[in-house]
Amino acid sequence: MKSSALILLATCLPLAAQVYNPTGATPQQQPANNSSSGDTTIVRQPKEKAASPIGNEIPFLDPNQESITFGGMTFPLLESRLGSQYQSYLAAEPNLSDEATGYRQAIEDILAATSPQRSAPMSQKLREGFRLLPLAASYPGDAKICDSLGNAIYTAMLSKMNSRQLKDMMEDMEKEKSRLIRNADITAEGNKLQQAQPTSSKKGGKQNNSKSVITSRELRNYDKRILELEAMQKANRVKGEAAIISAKVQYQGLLTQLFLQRRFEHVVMGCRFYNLIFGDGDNKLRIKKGSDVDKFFSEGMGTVATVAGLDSAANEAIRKSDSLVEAFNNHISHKELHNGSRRLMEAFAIGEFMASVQTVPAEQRRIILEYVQDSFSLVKAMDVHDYSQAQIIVQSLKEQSSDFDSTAVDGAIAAYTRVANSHVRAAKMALLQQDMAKFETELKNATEVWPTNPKLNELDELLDRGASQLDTAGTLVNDFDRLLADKNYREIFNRRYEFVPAVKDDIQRRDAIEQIITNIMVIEQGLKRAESYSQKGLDYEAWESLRQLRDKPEFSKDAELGRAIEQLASNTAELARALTRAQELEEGRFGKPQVGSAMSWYLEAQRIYPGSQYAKDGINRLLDIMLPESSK
Amino acid sequence: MARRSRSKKKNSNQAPMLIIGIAVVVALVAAGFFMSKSSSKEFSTLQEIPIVDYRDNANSLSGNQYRLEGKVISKQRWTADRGQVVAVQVDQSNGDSGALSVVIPPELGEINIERGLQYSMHIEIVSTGIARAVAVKAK
Repeated sequence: MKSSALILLATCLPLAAQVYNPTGATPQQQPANNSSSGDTTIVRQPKEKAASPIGNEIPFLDPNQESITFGGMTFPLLESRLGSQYQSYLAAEPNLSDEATGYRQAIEDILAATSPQRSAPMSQKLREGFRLLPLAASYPGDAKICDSLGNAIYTAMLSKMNSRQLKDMMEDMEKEKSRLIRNADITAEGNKLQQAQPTSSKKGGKQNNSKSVITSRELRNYDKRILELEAMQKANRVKGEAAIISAKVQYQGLLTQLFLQRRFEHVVMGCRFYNLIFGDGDNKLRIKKGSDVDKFFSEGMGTVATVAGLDSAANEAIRKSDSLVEAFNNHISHKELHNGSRRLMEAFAIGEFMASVQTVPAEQRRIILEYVQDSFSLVKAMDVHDYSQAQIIVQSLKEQSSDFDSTAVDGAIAAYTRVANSHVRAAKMALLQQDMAKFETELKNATEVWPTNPKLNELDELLDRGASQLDTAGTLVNDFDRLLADKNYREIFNRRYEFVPAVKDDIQRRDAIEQIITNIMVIEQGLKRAESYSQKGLDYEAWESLRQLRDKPEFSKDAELGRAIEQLASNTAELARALTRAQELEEGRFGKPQVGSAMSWYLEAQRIYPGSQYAKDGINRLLDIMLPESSK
Repeated sequence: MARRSRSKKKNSNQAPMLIIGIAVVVALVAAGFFMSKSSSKEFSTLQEIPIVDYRDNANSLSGNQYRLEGKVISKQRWTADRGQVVAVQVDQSNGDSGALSVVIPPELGEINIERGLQYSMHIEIVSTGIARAVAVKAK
């Protein structure tokens, strides 16, 4: 059987759903190389290859063609009829029941009973084979095909019986015709004798003339009857031949139908029954010119379609599906799921109803089913540009199958993800530069290339943060204004990192916060300086330095400053009291100003802390009263 | 015979001189003592300034005159024609102490007032509690 014949046969069949093939071979380019066995490939002529931006690694989906092209190969979508059947087959349990076993045994028995190698009378073979057909038809998986075959056989037998009867009739007719001919001959002889004898009287002459007339009419009747019989013989002959041919055509029609349905075992049975029924050596298949089966024989095999040829093709298909299943088993044993799934798919496409295909164990089917489903998922993921999911699936396929070649798909994923990420980066830069037009363009490009890119979430977060910052900015400005009104400069200083960005565009607020920060820094330095004095035991000096800071209006409410002064109070109480008293008397807080008393207290303060600037300043002020520098 | 030493002759002439010298010194000391006594006594008619009261409410002492005895701790201001102001530390016998500033008018300018020396002053409390010297005696 030529390999090309099976290829053509396969193209006549509904195309099976093919698993993902990353090898890149195209059906029309390398059909023979796709199969490890070398001569059987299930292909469909691709209608059109779509252009790929990078190469054949990128899948292109054409819904109109209901196919997907990947790596130069075209795969039908799951919507194709056989694709769904194949997946159903993978998901189904193997037919290992007693019923199924009994059915397969019945088929074997029928084939054995009708085998040409069996030495038994043809009628006996026919009878024994025919008897087993109802048994096989009782199995649901047979779909009553054996019953159909049985009916066809019965019809053919009936037509043969009629033909035999016609033949008997024809023989009878022939006998009758022979008798009539004989009689006609005898009559014709008698007539001649009478015409040859002379007549003596007129009466005798008249009697002789009437006898010869009667004899002539009799001969004509004989001739007429003979002609009638011959016409009937011809008509019956034609009728008989036509009946036989009609029976053959009907029977052959069933055989070809079974062949197209891939019921090859039934085809073999039917061919054997055909030979037993008709047995005249006429094997020519009377099929429509130009039909698929006609092409199968004429173009694929280069010969005339015959029943024997059909039988041979069916046997070849059975053998092929068995060998494909065997190849599948070998691949599975080596964890070569990719090639294994292809072999099984080919076996299913050819011999779906063959025992070898139907008895593939459930565990192996499940493995292939998962692999096939993942492969289709990969194709879909690549189609919708979900490269994250595609990466996950590719990894899973690599773990499942040792012969899964991910080179092409890995390259495609890497290329597209790189392009997408570059668009995301550009969008981020545009957002930071507040170039919204460019941002939107880059965002759109990034989304088109890889819609599920995780880095797009970063852009969303940036946008959300920006939006929240706008809300936060308003709140911060309000807080700043409130603290400024309260003269709570320390709080403003503590939150300067929040306030500075919020008020940077407002000149007045910005100047205020700059001034506050500067002043607080002065306080901080003063606090550090005071701490340094205190650590050296110079508490009076520390205290006075802090008091000088607090005397400034902008520092008067600083909590830290007040706290530091309080901490020194215990060690500087005497000085503080003297200065406080001196100031009170100088300012006249409790009555008139008392220069003399104030001066006494300033002198006391100076006695306590000779370096007191407050005392010195107070003394100088009072001296200006007591004895001005210049006369005024 | 050995000659008599001249020291014996000299010594007999100097003894009365010595006695006289000692007497003069004692007299001077006594005079000085009495003089000092007589000066404090001079301002003694004045009440010693209540330094605590002065420090707390000098205005209440305005118009009064007091005796001030203390040590000049600093010369706070000096002018050529309008006098000077000195700070005086007062430590009184009752345990009160304090400092005050005293305006020395120009008419008392011939008196040398040195920092660190003790002085007795006749002061007057003028307006706003300022102490103004009327007389100053060094101790």
